[in-house]
Amino acid sequence: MSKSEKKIVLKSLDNEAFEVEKAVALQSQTIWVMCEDKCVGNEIPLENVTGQILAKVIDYCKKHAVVDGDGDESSEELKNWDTEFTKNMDQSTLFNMILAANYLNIKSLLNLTCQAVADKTKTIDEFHTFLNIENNFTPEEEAQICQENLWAFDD
Amino acid sequence: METRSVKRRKKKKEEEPNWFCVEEIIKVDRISNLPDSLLHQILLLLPLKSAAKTSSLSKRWRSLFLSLPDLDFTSINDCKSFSSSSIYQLLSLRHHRDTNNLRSLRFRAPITFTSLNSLIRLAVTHQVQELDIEVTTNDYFNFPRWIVTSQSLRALKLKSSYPGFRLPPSSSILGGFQKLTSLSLSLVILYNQPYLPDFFTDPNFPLLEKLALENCFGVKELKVNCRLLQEFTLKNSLQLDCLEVSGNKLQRLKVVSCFHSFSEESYVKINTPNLKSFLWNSNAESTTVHFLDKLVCLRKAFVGMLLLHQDINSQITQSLFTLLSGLCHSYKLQLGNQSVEILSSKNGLVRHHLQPFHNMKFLELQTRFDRHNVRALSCLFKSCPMLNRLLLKIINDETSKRRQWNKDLWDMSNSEIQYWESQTYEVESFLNNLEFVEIHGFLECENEMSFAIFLLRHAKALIKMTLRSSFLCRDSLRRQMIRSQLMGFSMASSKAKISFH
Repeated sequence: MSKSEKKIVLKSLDNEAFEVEKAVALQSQTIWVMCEDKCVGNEIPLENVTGQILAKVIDYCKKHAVVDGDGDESSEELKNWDTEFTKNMDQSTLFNMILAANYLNIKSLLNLTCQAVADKTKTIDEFHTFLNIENNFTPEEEAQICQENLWAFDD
Repeated sequence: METRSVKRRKKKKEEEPNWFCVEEIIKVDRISNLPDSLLHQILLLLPLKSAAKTSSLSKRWRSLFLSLPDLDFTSINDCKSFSSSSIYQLLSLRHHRDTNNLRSLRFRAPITFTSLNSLIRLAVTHQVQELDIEVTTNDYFNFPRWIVTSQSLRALKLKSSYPGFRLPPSSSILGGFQKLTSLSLSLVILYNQPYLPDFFTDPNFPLLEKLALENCFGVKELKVNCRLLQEFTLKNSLQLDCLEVSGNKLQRLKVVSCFHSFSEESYVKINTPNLKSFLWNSNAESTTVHFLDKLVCLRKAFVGMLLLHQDINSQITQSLFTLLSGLCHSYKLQLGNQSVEILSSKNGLVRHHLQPFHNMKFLELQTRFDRHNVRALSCLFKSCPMLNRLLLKIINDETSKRRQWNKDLWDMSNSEIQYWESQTYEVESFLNNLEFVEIHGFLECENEMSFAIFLLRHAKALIKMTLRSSFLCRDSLRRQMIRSQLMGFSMASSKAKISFH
């Protein structure tokens, strides 16, 4: 296999091009299917992902492509890397990462990013204040909802 | 009452946000823009209680929670206001018309039979696909019949604590379970169920792939014959006398703690040509196992016996030999201590010959490694000509009467060493192929020392010998000397390394 065949170019929504190893890119089921179909050349346009997000996704895939071959020893290190990866991500990046992981169909990344949101929203107030969800219930409706599932609100 | 929304509006004015300030200033609700499926995925990562609380966030979130595909109530502990009626109420709030909206429902709860019945009926109208229920009741209850007729249920796990539940009468149960692929029942009362021998068969379970039965009381005779079945586990069916298992697709079979009625005639017939893994543990020692097919696909087998009789009679040894000869194609074999005892008895390997295990690469033995085990072990090694890896787990407890290795008197005239030396020709093929040996509970007693020395002197392909002691040795100086003694041998294999742990 020539060197060019091992590489693949991913093009983001804002026309940023990333050249990556095929093994790295193929962690995405979506890209895998595109390559299998042979309907695309060496350049794959990804219409739902911006360059900024795609760069992060590629970072993740590179890290996981290397470590998957290495066996158990690095699994602890990989876990720490994952934690660091999402730790300082701002909210909009995190949600865009979720959308990108979903679109590209990378299960482990989707799990990781969803888990990061779940971890940051342990209490209901965190949901309101951090996630800016507008409450469109009347106080009566809200009281009613608490009554419906009393077991969830009794503490 | 001051609702939380009022409190929150007050609070919001006072409080500085600390997660993402820019977002807070422009007030973008990004999370609610995610599609339902992704928000469900996030909610499923929260404990159910936290997920339930999100239903008070907004109308969108309320409907998200009420359409959550998996409801796992098992994470709710010590909550006074939670009971089985909470589950019922939550299910009642869900939209009935959405098809397949309830993927799985799990709960552990004390419940009356009436409540359980109506709860399951409600779950079935929501087309639940997976039910995992553990209930505590005060009386016997009948298997809820809504389960039988459900057209959506794929997996069912029903566990009851004392006193257990009964299956419904044959008229309402036969021909049911048409869509079920996985069934697990625990604590089922099966006295006087004449239809039982033909129950676990294709007409009732045409799609069943996985079956687990645990604590089945009163069943004496059981037949399992399902075309698609891949995995079958049977545990604690003490009164069982006869078991017949057939299935071309069956790959994994486990039978644990059964046949304790000590009937002389208890037997098992196994007709599973594609079996890959077989586990037989703590079953009464006199049970005879017949394999009707050659198990040519077998990868691993475990044979552990429950030895209750003091004397090992010829029937017991015969049963074990029949069982082992059925497993002769296995790649890996594990033998429990009691099995090794039976092989070591006076009716054991002295009288019988083991069928050779030509494919066997990995052997694991548990033994006290007393003097009387030595001969049986040597016969076993002879029967494993292609063995690559040997794991010997020595049981050291108060009852073992093993002699310490006398380092000062060590010479080749030691009777144990002489015995092993006399076997060199008999176990030649074993010695030529063995690459890895691991001995657990290595306390430098006479038997294991002689065996280790024998392997070092004769195992030509040996790569690594690992010796693990189960606890720190009393006398480390002595241990050091014995170790250097072992290291100092001229070894048959130039690659061999010894490692102590």
